[in-house]
Amino acid sequence: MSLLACTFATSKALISQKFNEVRGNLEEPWLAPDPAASTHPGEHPRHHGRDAQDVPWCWHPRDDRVVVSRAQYGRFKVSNLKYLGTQPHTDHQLTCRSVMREYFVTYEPHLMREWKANRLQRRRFWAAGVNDIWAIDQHDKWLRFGLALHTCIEPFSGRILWMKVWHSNHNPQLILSYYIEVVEALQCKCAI
Amino acid sequence: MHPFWADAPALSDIPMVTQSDPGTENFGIANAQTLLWQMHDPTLEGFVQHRWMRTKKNIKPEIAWSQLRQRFCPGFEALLETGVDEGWYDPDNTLQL
Repeated sequence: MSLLACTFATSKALISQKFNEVRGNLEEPWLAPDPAASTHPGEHPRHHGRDAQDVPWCWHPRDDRVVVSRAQYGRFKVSNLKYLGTQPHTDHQLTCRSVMREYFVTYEPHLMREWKANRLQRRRFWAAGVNDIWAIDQHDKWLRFGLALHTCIEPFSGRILWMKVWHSNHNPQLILSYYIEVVEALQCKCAI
Repeated sequence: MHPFWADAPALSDIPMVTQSDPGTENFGIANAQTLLWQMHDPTLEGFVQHRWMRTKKNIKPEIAWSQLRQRFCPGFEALLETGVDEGWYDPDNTLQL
């Protein structure tokens, strides 16, 4: 455990070092983090009085996520995020690996034990064959662009039967139209 | 095309069951699927031919979205973002969708 803590300390030092390097190469000073994304970094107890100019990232106000402002996200994406041990696909709000560890120790210790002992209960997906199941799901992360995605997958073969984008994905008739369209395109005997 | 799919004789049928997460938007499919099956097999009267998977149990499409997020979204979202930032595209304007 102490070794782990040591690693985290190093990685944190690395981050700030890297940030300072990049910062030195820039002509313009750091923009303050997105006001929409976070509180003022200086005010947060974990910033120890540093002001916004010093921190290209800040702690999330409610939990322990790290918030990287949108302006800086692109610059840090490749080189720096790996030091945080994060998942880059969660937009701008990144979870430290140490925080994740803390969470699992607190709330899911049994899973932690299984994982450490290399005894995770794997589950297996099962389907009788092609066309046994069509699995349908919608995706709302692009609603902020006004785009609503919808997909249907035939899991046994992995074929994507449809992947549609429209301004809505909550209208049952619209979803039904996707289904009917594919059923007709496949010339299903059953439907005739 | 996946080999399973290429050889599949069952390609021209509707599926045995459809599945989705619980939500009103899927009622259309659930009803149509059930209706079609009951039309062709009266013994299925009273059985729903749709599976309502609890949240996070509809694994396969979730995997597809995860892949989309990781492989396709970063670049494409940046494009959209540029459009929004430059004022070329307004998500609230239905005419532009």
